Amino acid sequence: MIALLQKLVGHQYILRNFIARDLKVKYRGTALGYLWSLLEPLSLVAIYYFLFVVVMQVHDPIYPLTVVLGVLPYNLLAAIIQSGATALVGNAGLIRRVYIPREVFVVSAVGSNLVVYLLSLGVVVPLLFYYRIVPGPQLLWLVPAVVLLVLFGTGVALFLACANAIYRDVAYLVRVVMRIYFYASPIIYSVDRVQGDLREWYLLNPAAIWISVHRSAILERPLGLELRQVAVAAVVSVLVFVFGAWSFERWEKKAVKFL
Amino acid sequence: MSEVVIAIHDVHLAFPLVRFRPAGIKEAFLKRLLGRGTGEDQKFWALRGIELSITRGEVIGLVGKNGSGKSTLLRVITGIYAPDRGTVETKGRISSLLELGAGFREELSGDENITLNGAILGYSPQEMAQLRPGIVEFSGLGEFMAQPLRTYSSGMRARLGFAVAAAVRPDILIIDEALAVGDAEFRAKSMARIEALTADQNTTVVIVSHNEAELRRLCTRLVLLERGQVVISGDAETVFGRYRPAGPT
Repeated sequence: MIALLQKLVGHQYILRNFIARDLKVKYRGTALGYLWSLLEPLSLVAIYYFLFVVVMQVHDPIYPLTVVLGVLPYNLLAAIIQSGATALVGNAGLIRRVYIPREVFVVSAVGSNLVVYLLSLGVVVPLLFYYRIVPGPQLLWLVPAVVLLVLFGTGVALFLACANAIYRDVAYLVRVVMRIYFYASPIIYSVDRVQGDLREWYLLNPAAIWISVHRSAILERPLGLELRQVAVAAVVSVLVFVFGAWSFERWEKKAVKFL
Repeated sequence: MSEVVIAIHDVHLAFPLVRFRPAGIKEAFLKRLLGRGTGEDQKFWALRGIELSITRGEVIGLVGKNGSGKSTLLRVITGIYAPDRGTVETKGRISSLLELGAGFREELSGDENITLNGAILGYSPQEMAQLRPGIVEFSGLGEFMAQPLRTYSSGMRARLGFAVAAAVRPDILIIDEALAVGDAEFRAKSMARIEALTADQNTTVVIVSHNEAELRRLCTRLVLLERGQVVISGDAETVFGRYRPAGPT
């Protein structure tokens, strides 16, 4: 863990360079540029507004906003996992020719996705105005929720990056699994909808907890979760990260030979 | 007694053979199921017990046929591959020029590539900005620095790559045939630069080349590799008495 941090600090310039490059590439050649980070979640608001408020007559006036607040952290997690999983394979040319600690490739993918997330958070502001919601001190919960979500995602990404180098199937598998994961996380519904025996199991998924915390932090709504459940998610998130970092160190040398 | 800056001890390195490599989880699973082992059993040993101690200020030339393990050994020294067995210890900052345009981005300009290359080596954009005049002067690419790299010829890339690698004053400089594409003038210039770098005995150089004249002029010691092993190590007469690189003499 300390070795990982040392590597990142020692190679901070290349890390920053990669993050800046990712962001430039993302918006290169687009007329609207950064606006796309707002338009994408907004299009989802429109879809879910039409589907649930107009067609299915859900009686929750702020439903579109709650969906956006689920989609934003989910997209962050999914982007980290997907781009992290392909970080080694995608940079094979560079990895074979110059030595850069390989963690840098995964962490830079995490970093650029985090920036995109922070930018896309801007879409929430007009919606809060529209619904006349003023966030209070509970907003501070956003920080640990995002940090732990990112730690969880980074751990998964570190593990998958090596796995995908050895078995390229992994990237395809991840795409399928992430689609299922979208519906298995409280995005288009809230955690109160999951009751009974299933609930305890459902809440073992750290994403379910952090998406819920993320949402209630901004909406100033009661969380509807026990502290114990949040604590378990925090421990699981940190453990997944530690496992990811450990597995990366363990398999990286082998993975590089498959690039 | 000079200080050892690269200590290579009993280094073995194997690559998985592509044709036996499981193409995916399905094949791996099937192989395991059929008791035929996974693809890992099929290996190509590129390095088989390399022993080499290099002291500060030496200029080592690695020679040998294609596939003898020269480039793989350079990659092990830079840290790209970790040995499967044995140890490699290096002291100080390594700057490498392993392939033409390694660490360059086609869509970036020459200037941006200097920053990128510096960052790969661990230098800040500010530090690289200070080194820039020397790099531009050495490479002779002044008017092209704002152009994207994809417009560069291979000679221009070699010039820029070498200029950056040498400008950062590395402790260990590693060069893999990258000079071969340059014209005579550039090669003479880069050899002079290598000589200047090593004159004060601070920089150690490991170079792979098939050019006998170049190796004779630059190297303090030659090492002949064959099938992933060190066959002989010594001065040019000894090594070239045993092996002569093909090509123009």
